[in-house]
Amino acid sequence: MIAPESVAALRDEELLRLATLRSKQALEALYDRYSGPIYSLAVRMLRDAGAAEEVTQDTFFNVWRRAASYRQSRGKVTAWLFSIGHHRIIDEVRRRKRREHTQVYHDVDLINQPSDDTNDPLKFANRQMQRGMLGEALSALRSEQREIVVLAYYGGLTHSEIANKLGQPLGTVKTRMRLGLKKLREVLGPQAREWTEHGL
Amino acid sequence: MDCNSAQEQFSAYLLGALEVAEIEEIEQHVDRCTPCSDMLRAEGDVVLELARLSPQVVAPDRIKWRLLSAIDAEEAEVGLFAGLWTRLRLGPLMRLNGHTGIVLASVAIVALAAGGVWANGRLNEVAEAKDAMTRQAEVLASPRSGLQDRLLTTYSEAAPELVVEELSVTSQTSDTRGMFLVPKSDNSALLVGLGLAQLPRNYEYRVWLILEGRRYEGGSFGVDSAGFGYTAIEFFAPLANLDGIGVTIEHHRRDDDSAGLVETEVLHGDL
Repeated sequence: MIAPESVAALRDEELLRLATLRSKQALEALYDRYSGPIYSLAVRMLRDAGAAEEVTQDTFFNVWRRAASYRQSRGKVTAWLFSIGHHRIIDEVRRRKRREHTQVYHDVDLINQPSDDTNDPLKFANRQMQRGMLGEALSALRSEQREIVVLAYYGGLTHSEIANKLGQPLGTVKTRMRLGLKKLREVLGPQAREWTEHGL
Repeated sequence: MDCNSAQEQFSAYLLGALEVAEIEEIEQHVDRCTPCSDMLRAEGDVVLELARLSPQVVAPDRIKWRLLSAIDAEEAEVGLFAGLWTRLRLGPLMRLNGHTGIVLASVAIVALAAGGVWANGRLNEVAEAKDAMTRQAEVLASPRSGLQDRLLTTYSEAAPELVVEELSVTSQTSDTRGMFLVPKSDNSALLVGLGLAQLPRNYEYRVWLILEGRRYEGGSFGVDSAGFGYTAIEFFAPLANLDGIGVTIEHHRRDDDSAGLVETEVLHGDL
């Protein structure tokens, strides 16, 4: 048993390595570190606290089961972990679309959507544009780039589906996606560095 | 996939906008290409920032407790297998004393061979499967000893008189291990794979039981992302009479395709 304060001081890679050795302490440390952002993203995208809880739990359960599959060549631990969470959220988004699920609102303070809200990622992006950092970041993109980034990241569409939806060639979608992400890196770069330095 | 094609898709990969097959292609490329890997790692930060830009909410504690309970439940399920132990009397046994007071025989080793492989047809697909296994084996290299130790400890505590037959492996490299577990019945067993490499789609591990020079199919299984898989073995004769056991990698057998066998041997051992 490792002292909790020692575990909390370990780097992400070290915690993940311990998780492959079935250290629940290590998994708890990763959970304590990143459950907030994962849950927050899930709440924002699903607008359902119950579903967000389930998705968050599934994310870290998958981290536990798949810890040995992490490859440094494919990105940092945080990127890998958030990718698992994002994919799980997208799975839920797609599942709901298939079922034409009706949104259920729970009593979460940060969920304060207008009654005519829909699950349309473009409308979601428009709302975000009027608020805070995300709005500022997305508004820095050209409209055609923003549209594609939002459809992919928040809407869960593949680049082929986006091309079909927008009636654009796949190559155009890929290019606009790449340029949009590049612009976001420029806009978010300073903030990203600060978060990285603080271990977030 | 070349570097230009891979880099063209990095944004879609990071945004989660690729199909499963495309994701695998990208990952296979960056696993082999350091410059592209470095580029992908650098570009990955922006996606984290997109996630963090949502208003931050503290996740309820109950999520953590449910998570830990789910993990405990899964581990308890694995522990149930330990309750199926019995003593297996076999011919030439290798018994190893493990912990004090516990007779722990050696672990049946299932090794993936990088060489020593033969194939009947479809050589390119076999080569691809081998490459995938080698990469997976490399990924699983360091944690496997810890996983195996934990599993051995679990089973030895449950069955102090555990006797497990060890296979004498013939292979050029040995990266992967499994266990040969024996439940209460003399004619049935549970073969548990530990730290095995995940296989490409349409492939499976197939168990062969060798008796008096003849080979009998003993079941097949896949493994999860942690390399864990198992299959129950039922045999018409006491397993104590077996001459050997083998595990190969095969195409999934379809009902209408008796020629689906690749017959790629990954293990050959004598009991």
